Amino acid sequence: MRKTYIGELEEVVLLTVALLYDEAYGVAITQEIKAQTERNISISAVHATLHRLSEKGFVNSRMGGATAERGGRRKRFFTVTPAGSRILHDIQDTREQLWRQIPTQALQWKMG
Amino acid sequence: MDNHPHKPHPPRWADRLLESFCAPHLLEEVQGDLYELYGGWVQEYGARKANRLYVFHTLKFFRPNTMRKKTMSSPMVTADMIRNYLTIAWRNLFIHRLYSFLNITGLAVGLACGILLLLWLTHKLSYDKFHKNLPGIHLMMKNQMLGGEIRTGDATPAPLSAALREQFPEISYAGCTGGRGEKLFNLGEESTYASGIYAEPDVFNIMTFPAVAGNPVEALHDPGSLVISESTARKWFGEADPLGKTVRLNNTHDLQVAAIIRDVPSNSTIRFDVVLPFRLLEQEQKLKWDNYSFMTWIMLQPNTGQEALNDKVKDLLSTKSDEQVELFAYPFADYHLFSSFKNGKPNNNGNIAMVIVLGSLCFFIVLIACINFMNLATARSERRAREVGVRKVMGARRRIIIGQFLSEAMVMTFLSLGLSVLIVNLVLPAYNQLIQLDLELNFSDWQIWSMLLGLGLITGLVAGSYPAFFLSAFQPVRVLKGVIVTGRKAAWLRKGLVSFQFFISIFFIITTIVVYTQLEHIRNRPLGYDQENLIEITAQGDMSQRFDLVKHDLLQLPGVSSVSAGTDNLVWMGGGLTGFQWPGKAPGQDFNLTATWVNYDWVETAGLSLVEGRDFSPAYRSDASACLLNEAAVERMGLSDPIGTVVGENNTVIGVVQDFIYNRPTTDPQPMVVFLRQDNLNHFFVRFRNDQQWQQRLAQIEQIVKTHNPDYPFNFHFTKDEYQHNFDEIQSSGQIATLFSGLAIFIACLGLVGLSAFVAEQRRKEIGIRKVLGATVPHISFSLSRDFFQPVVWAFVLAAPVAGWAMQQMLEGIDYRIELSWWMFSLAGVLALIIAMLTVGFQSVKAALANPVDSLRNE
Repeated sequence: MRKTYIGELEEVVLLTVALLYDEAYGVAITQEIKAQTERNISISAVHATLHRLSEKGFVNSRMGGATAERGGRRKRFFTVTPAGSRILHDIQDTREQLWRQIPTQALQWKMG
Repeated sequence: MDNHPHKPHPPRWADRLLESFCAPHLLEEVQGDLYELYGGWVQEYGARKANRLYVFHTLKFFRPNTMRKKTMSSPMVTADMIRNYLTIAWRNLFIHRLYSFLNITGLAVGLACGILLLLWLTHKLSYDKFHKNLPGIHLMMKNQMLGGEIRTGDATPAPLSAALREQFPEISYAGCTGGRGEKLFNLGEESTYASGIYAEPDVFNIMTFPAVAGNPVEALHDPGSLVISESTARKWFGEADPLGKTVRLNNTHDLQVAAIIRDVPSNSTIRFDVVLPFRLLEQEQKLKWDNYSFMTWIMLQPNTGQEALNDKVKDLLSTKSDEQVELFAYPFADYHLFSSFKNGKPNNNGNIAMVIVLGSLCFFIVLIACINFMNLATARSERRAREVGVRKVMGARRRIIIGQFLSEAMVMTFLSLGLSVLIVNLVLPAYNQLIQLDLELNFSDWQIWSMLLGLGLITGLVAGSYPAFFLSAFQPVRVLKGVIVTGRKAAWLRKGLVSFQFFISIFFIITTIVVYTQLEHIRNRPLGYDQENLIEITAQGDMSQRFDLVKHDLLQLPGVSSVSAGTDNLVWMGGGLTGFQWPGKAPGQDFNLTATWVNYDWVETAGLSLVEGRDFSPAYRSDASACLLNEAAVERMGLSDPIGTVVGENNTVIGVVQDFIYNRPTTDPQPMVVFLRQDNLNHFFVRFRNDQQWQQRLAQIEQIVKTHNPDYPFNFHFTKDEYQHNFDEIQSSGQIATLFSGLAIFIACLGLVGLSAFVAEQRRKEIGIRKVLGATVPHISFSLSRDFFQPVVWAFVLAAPVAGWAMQQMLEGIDYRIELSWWMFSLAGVLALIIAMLTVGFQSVKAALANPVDSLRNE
């Protein structure tokens, strides 16, 4: 059993961090989420989520990559930790387990 | 850096806002992300919308996650740091001994002045505060139209208090006092004088004079009792129990001591040692409604306003006498400070003027001392600059450095405070003598402590704040490179401060000069009569009845040229009349006419001169209803041919006396009328020749008086001495003003010495080079001093008009005044310039005499 839970947004952000592997930072994550899911999440929300995940130990971060565009400020890149990976797998497994047990009629809705 | 056209930048205020609330370790990435997004927004939406989005998203970062937590910065005030600060401060004090000495001394002197003045001020402001019911205590005062303006006075008739008590329920107590003065008391063999006052019993219910024994209120109901103060009891009866003992008043009444009160404190408007029952006075004289010689005190019921009462009592006096007099109640709490009225309203001419003047004096002196401190500290900033640079590099924030310098200033201030307390203790006896008070620095009184601490704190903060801010602003890079930090702005400020100091000093010099000139002017005012060789003897008991006998005996003495008597003593004439009639008097016209009654030969004895007519003479029986007028009276009445005119109550004018000075030497002579009287004259005048034997003569006069009046001590005064007493108070005020002006200048000069020494040292190398190139010593001294003359000149230019205006205001209130003239201002200016030259010149010359070898050795 998992000891901690993560919310839906946290899960999405965590997955995106994994997706972006080594290039995951605030703006990139936000844009990727927008591209993948059409969700407009504000940069501050993403930052807040990332910090929560970091506190829970699911992501690691490192500084690097200053550009002129950012006025010389560096980016903070995030990577998923083993614990983060475990929890993602856990969620995936739980979902699949539930899905397998749903009778066909429950989710059949004819759009007439 | 690539040359792209002006890139749009997110609004800086939003940036700063973010920087202010964002946690430092997150700031970089957050701000970087925002910048990156901003770039995209600008391209997509344009600058304006991009700005709005930027602000919007910045504000969205206002979350607990990103906020800075309370900075747990390492405590900056560890014990080690404190030790370091103290060591540095101590070292600095010692290395620059001259400056430290100047700073501390100047500040100490300034603080000492401040303390002395504050002591006086607190005393003055504490007058009458010891009365428990002070808010309810009021003094009845009257407004009268006289000669077109409203005259306000506190003299009321005796029956007023009873009337107030009976008719007005708003008044809980009403009492009347009067007859204040030195009274003669006999205790067995000895006779002595004590200051006494007649009072109704209710007065002790209104005012708080705590009793040590007996009950003063009851005692005063009995016309055979009296109340005395503790020290009087001790003086009269030693350690014996005074209650019940009998003393004789004025050789006429036997009174028993029925109560003893604590000594009246020095901060009381009415002071006395003995209280006599008012009934006694009523028994002796019939006191009617037209005799305005008493003070009536009332206490209002709690929560009663005086306005309501004033409406009711307004016409009380007008109904009882046939004059238009408006009565009102004036709060006793305001009486001491605001007892001067103009046109019915209290104005700022009474004691409050002194308070304001000395209060501002105190403020300015301390300010000058603080400015000194500031100037010296900032001037010496060069030396501390490198220290500041190193500290900043080591990580000290500006706030810390401010704190360091502020505490250094505080330490110096409290050192000065200690020194100033010593100075005050040394000077206090002389100061007390000067102002004729008994002030003391009582360390067991918490008020004194709080005043001293407050003074120290405020001075330290004021004096230390500017240098602290100035010094802590140094940028490490520039300072450690050795760039000269004191730029033009700082030098300009320093000169401005010096200018301000001298402005105040010159203002004081001018004031002192004017005050002294005015004083001398008054002193040398021709009196109109001959004060030399004139004595005045107070007639006691029934001596006044035997005047003719006494006069006859006195005239037998060789050298006594003339003897007369009168109701007043020439220097002070208290009696006044209104409603006097004269031919040609316009209806509604009236003025206060001084009235006095005299015996024959008064004009000659007093040394007055008659302009017209003759003195009273026993040859004319009609003289009993005749009178003399003085020139001022004749002029006011508009009499073209006074001799023979009938004025007043059927009095024929037989002579016009030349105006002479009485009451206040500063005013023009007031109109006076003189009547003849043969009895009840309290003051005898004797004029005698001035030669070697005057002492013997005096002894002889005393003999004669004693034979006629054996029960009373011989009480006489030289009229000249009496007159001089008038000046005592003005003179001491003048002395105080001079003293403090001198001190202000002294402190300003201390500052100048420090500054000039500093500047001279700064320019050491420059002077060395100049000397090598052939400049002479005078030339160099002059060029060094020149910088300091400018502020002094400016100070003079500004101070002269201000002082001139202030002095004009002061002189307006004096009739016999000097005209402000150029020499007073020029003298002040020249004096200031000389003082500045001396202080600066000394340092300049010293610097100019230095050997160039020494200053250029390390080039």
